[in-house]
Parts: sequence; C-alpha cells; structure tokens
Amino acid sequence: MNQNAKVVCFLFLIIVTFFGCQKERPHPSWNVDLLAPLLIDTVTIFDIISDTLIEENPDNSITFVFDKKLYEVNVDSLVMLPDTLFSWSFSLQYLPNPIPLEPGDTIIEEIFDWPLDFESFHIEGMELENAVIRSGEIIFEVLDQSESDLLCVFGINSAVRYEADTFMIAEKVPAGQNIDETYDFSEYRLDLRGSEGIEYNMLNYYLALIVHPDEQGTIYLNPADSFAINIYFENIVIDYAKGYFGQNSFNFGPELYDFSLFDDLEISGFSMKDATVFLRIENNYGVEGLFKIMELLAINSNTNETVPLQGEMVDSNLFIDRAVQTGNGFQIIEPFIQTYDFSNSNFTEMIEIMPDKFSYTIQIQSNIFGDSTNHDNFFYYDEPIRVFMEAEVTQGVKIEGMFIEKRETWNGEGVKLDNITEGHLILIFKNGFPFSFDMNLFLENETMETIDTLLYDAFITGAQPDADQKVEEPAETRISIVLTDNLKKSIKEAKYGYYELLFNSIDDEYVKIYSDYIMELKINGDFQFIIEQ
Amino acid sequence: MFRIFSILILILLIKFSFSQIGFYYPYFPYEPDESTEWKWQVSAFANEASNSNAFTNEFFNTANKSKFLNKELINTQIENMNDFVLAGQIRNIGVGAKINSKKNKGNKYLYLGIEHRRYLDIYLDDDLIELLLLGNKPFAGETLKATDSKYYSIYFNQLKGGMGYRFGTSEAIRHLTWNLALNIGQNYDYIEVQNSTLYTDPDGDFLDVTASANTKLSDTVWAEVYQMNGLGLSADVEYSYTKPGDFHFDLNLKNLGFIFWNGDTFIGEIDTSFVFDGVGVDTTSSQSDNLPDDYSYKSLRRILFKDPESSSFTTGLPVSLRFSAGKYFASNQFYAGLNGTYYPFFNAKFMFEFFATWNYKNKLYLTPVVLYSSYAKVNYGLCLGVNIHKKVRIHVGSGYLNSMFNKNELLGKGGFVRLTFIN
Repeated sequence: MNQNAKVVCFLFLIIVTFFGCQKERPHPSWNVDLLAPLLIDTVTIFDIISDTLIEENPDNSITFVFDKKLYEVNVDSLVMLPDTLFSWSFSLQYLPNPIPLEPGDTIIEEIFDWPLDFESFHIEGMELENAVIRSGEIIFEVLDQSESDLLCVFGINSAVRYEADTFMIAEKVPAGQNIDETYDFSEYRLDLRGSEGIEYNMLNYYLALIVHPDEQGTIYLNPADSFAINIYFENIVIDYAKGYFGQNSFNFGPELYDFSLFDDLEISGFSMKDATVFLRIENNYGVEGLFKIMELLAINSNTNETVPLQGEMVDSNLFIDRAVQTGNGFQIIEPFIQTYDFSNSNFTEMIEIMPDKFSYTIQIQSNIFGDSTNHDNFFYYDEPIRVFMEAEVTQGVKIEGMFIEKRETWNGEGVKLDNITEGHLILIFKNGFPFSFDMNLFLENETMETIDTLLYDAFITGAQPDADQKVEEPAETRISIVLTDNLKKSIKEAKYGYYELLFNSIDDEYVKIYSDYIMELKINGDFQFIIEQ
Repeated sequence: MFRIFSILILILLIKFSFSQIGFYYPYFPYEPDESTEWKWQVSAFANEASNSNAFTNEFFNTANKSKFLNKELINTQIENMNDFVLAGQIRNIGVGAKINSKKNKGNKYLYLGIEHRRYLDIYLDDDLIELLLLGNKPFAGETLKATDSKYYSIYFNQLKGGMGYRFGTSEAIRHLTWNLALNIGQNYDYIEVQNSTLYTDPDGDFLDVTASANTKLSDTVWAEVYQMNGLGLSADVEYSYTKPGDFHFDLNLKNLGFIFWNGDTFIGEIDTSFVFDGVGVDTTSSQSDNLPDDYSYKSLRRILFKDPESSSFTTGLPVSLRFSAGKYFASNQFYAGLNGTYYPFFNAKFMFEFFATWNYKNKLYLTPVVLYSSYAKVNYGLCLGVNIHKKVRIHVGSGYLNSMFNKNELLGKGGFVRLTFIN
C-alpha cells in the first residue's frame, strides 16, 4: 500500500469513527409528581331506578310511578264446558231373531245434533255459539256386548281444526270388551249453533257402528247384544268463547298473587309521605258486570306482616262495562277500562311492609243487564280481567337499604401503571342525592371472580336538603387508596369493575328526589410517575 | 389530562448543546512558508459544542447518557434556572479534499467533500421546564405559563463540490471559495409552544388548559445517519483578505439553501382551551381510545396533535454568517483576533471568540481563546496546531476547558479536531 492509499484509509477510518458517534435520541428518565383527574362518571336517578318507575316533572322533581298488575281473573272459572258430551247406549233386546251381517256391514250410522248439558253441571243460562279449545282431551269409551268385533266411528262435525280437519276417530272394539281411548282436542273450533245454525250449545255428531272388516265370514247380532258409547271432555281449557254466558255470580279467591314493587331492585324498606292511588280495572271480556273487592291483603312473606286494603270502595260494587271485539287483527279487543280513586285508602301502609304477595278475594256478577248483547258475550283466554294498581308518589319517600349492583366492562391493558412508582388513587364522591351509600367496589377477572377489593363497606355521605327540601350542595367524600404493586397488577388484569351500593335516606327522613340530582364519581391520581423516553 | 401530559413529555425530548467551530481553522489563517506546489490535500474534521444558559454539565450529561435524573439533580438544576432556558448543540463531521490546478497551481483548486451536520436550538420558558421536571403537583393552585418555547433539531449530510481561487499580490492575498452542496436530510424536528397555560386544581379535580402549539417533523421515527428523508441544495461562499505579516479578514456564508422533506412527515397544530376533569367511563369501547398505550414520543404526539397532515414540506437550512479578523505581530510570531458567528434563525444567535496565537517556528501554534455567546457566559480554552514536515497538520482544541470538566458549571462543552494531509 503506497503512502497516498494509507492516508485515504486513515481518513476513512476517522470518518467512520466520527459517524459512529451519531447517537440515538437520548432516553433519560426521571420522576415527576402528578396530580390529575383520571376517570369521571356520573350517576343520575335514572341510573339507579328504572325509568319505568319514575317520571320527571316540569320542576325537575321526580314522581315515583307504580303501575303494577295486582291480579287477573281466572278465565276457567268464568266459562266452563260440561265434562260429559253425551252417553249413548243401544240394545237389541227387542230383536226377534239374530240378524246375519257380513264384514264391513253397518249396524247403525247417525248424524245428529246433541246439546251440551250445562245445567246438569250447574252452569246457568249459558248459550254458547262458538268456542275454540285451547287444550284438553276427549275420552272415548265404547262397550261392545256382542260376539263380533266392531269398528266404531265417531266424529264431531262441528269441531274443525286447521280449517278442514274435522274431529273424527275410528276404533276397533273387540267382541265382548270395552275400549277407553283419549284424543287430543286442542285447537278445535267449535260451532255450537247446530246443523241449522240457529241453536245454542249444540254440537253436530257423527256415529257409526260397523262390523269390523277383519271379521271372518258372516256374523250374527243377537237380542242379547248391546252397545254403549260415552264421550267426555277432560282438562278442557277454552281459548275463546262467544255467545251468552248467562247471569252468574263468580267468587274468586282467596288466591295469592306474586307482587314486586321494584323490578330488578332489592330494597329493604320503602315508604312514602303521601300517594295518589288508583285501581284500574281492565275488562277484556265481552261481559258487563259488577266487580266487588271482598278483600285485598298485602303480604310480606319474609316478615309475615300483612296489611288489608281499607277504604270506602272495599266491599262495594264497582260496575265494569263490557269490552268490544274490534275485528282488527292487531287489537282484536277494545277493553273497557275504568279507574277508581283509592287515594283515601291505606295504600301507603300496604306498601311500607314491602309486600311480595297479594291475596285477593273478589266477586263478579256477570251480565247484570241480561242478554243485552244479543249473544255477543265473548272472552279470550289470553285477555282476562286485569286489576292494576296505579300509584304516584310526588312527595317525599324514605328508602331503606336499597341495593343496586352494577358490573362494567373494564380494559386496563392499555393503562400504563408500571411507570407509577408510588402514589394514591383518590376516589371522590360528590353526592347530590339525599341518600347515604355503603359501597363495595371490586375488580374481577374474565370469569367474574374478584381479584381485588378497592372498597369495602365504604360510607359515602348523603347530601343534606335545605329548608325547601331540595339539595343545593352535594356532600363530598374522599377515599384514598394506596396504589400497591398488587393493585396495579389487578387494574391491568381486570376485565370487570363490579360495585354494590346500599342506599338509605339521609337521617331516615322522607326525601324528595329531583332529576338533576347526580352523584359524581371521580378518580384522581396523586402519584410519582417515572418518565422514560 | 393526557393531552397535558403529552405536551409535557413531548417537550422533554429536547436535548441540549451548541457549537461554534466551523470547518475553517481561524486561529492562524496565513502561514508564511505556505507553498502552492501541492497536488492535493485531504482533511478530516469533527467538532462539537454544547451550550446552555441554565442546564449544568452534570444535568446535560446525565440526560444525554440516558441516565436517571434524580431529585437532587433536578432541584439543583431548577435553582440555577433563569426566566428562560436556552440550550443548543452544533456538530459537524466531515472529510474533504482539495485538488490543485495543474496549470495554475495554488491559485485555483477543486474542492470535494462529504459532511454531516447537526443543529439543535432550544428555547424554553422556565415554567415549562419546571413542569416537565417536577410534574404539576408542586404547582397545584398556580397557573403555569409557557408563552414562547421552541425546539429545533435538524441533521443532514452534504455532498459538496466547489472551487477555490487565490488571487491578488504577495502583499495582499485574496481567497474566494464557493461550494455547492447536495443536502441529504435525515431528520427535522420542530415544535413551538405559544401562550399555553396550565392550572391544576389544588385537589387535582381538574386541569384548566390553554394549549397552542405546532410541529413539523420530517419523519415519525428518529432517522439513522445513512437514511434519506429529504433532498435539497445549498451553497457556501467565503472571501478572505490577507495582508501577510499584518492582518487577516474573512467572511463566510454557510448553508444558504434548503431541504425538501418527503419522508413520513408529520405536521400538526393545536390551539385549544379546555378543562379536563377526567376521562369519561365508556363501557362500550376499549380504554385505549382515551388512554395512551404508552408514553413514547410517537404515542404522545398522536394524542396531542389531532388530525395531523403528512405532506411534504421545505425548510431552510440553519444559515450562518461568520467573520474572522486578526492582526499579526512580531514577524508572524503572534496572531490575535476575533471570530464571530451569527445564526439569524436560532434563538442562540451569536458567538464571539477572542484569541491570541503563539507561532513557534511555523511548527507549533498555541492559542488561548475566550468565548462569549448568546448563552450569556464566558468560556475559555486552548487550541493547538502542529505542522509536521509540511505534510501533516493537526489541529485540536476546545474553548470550554473552564467548564467542561466541572459538573456544576453551566453546560459548555465541546472541541474540535482536524487532520490534514498534504501531498
């Protein structure tokens, strides 16, 4: 290598060395003290209580609105079919000589109308034109006192299912034996107007007794032979009926009916200063009548407390008019709805025991005006008489031990907590509700198992209403949580945040609630953060 | 909160240094026995200078070496601070060759070279620095203001070609040189924060923020020295007048040009006021929309500057105007003078250098220097030049000998080295 080349190589070496000194952007690190809000959430009354239970008034005050079904009238009690369709027997005792018959020969074949015998079953004045069977069976009994096998064919011509499926059965009856068969009778539409279409309670039947085609050769009917056929209804539930249901008096109850004042809400005590209470009766039957509440008992089955409804309308006849069939496929019935003011009752006392059941005893007198509808009484099984309680609580309420729980999804994977060397999370509750809270707050994994407890039995002060019974200044509660390594790990791994809140009215007083009451939950960070670049 | 935090940390990416020594060796520009009978000269050089009016050497070194800045160091640093912090760094590395004219030896030559240049220029409000270094908690209940803060960083390579002319008489020698450079840009970072404030509620319940900032980045990643994110052209011009044995004067205009940046650029602007009181809990989406995945430069920039553009842009180079003047004494045994450099687009705009060189038999040159600059501090040092058989020249020196070895001194460090072979 000559001198010049050495010089060039030397210089090149220097350049490479120098260029190698080009550094990346420096990455120093240091601690800073940060104090800043991190997360904020706001809870309104609508987050706590379902908006189906409360309404907002123009002055932002909240009215608790309860519209609860107290009970339904059992349709099976109002209209029933007699158990027995008919019993028919046929004797050959007056036959002078045995009659020879070939296999397949008909002994007897009849098409006839036969009425349902309501009166024998103590159902007075019932004149049905149409009915649809919701469920139930027909029991078919045949007795064959002859020496040959018979084929017994039975049909109800006026019972049609699926437009064209007439009820028709055929059974082999062995000689000297009886059979007992059961057939599904659900969904059959009954035309009870008879073959002429002008009758009531009348069904049209078909009956045939045939020498069984499988018999071998000629058989003989003797004077000693006889046959009997009995047809019964069993477990019949009527889906729809039309006609005249007669003037009857029905007593219902005492029956228990489950009741829940706050759906999806656990609450130990709820009382109200005052309430406007209405009883709403919704009559979906095409029958007018008198409705009498004999007894309505609120029951708390946990405490065994009971409070009977007391008021001037208890044990009084309440007239309810009939519903009307509209012919509209979407709303086939236009119910009769009548509201009765029960504000002077002891309703608030009934609610204060937090009833979970109601026991009712009522009496209904149907068709008090006779057949005023010209055989247009009707009912649908799914649309009974319903009794509702409507209550509006505009004044103060007292809530005791109301429990709500909520689970929020949480994704902490993106939260960079590793850089926090030490510090606290500060939970700040700015509570604008006149309720105090006991709070538990947990972090959970993907299987909703608790992996860390942030708060347990933490008390959050309630706001104090002013002289106008309205909260102007929220009460503030601050709770500091040390941000340990375990907690940092839990925050990153958690998939859910789960909290439980137990509400109590402040100072155990009646408090009025406004829609602009909020509780602000904020999490501030107060920590030393290591900055790394 | 994280937007605030983004601002804080983004600004923290600033680093600090400054230099003033150029390619031109100024301490003894005329050599009495200089020959024009050379074929070529090859010179490699490197110089770097870092300066600040507020940061100490220890603070700078710790940060620059990517170490942990402890509380004591930070507190000491903050105690030393003025109303604003000025910091910068200039680094030049290169190799060049001069090829003599065969017909007009010594009076005309061709120059070819390759150089790498880096400039960093920072101006920060003290409130902003304190916020960056201490966090917001110590200032809860106060309003911190960043009225005007800037961070400028550029580095690029230059392929240079030019001509040099020597003319005049033996009593008055003039030189005129010019270079044209093809600039290959690696990285350009510019962030400016104006009239921004931060108020932290005493309990940390909210942050009241006014943020006004803009940024231009040539690329969203820190480019390596061999990468190319932009191209441009520039020119250098230098004129000198020397009256041998009497005085010397030269004027130098450098980096008059531009770079057109066309990498993965990032242009963003924020001008907003808001009160931050926490990220709303949204159970339907991942928290990642609100919380940064990390606190990297890239992540924070994305949060801070919404809807950035990524279009090409052109920037001017950090042009400098430099003059040098000196007087020879005692038959060229001494040379004393003044060098000055002016950076019109920098916050640290000027640097003056007073020097006096002792020439020992044209073989050894010893030069004490005193520096004063926009950083409002005096530095001094020593430079050494050696001629070996008129074939090799070695120039080394530093103007920061008083400060660079004292960790508690304000940042002032740097030096130069140049090796030249003459054939």
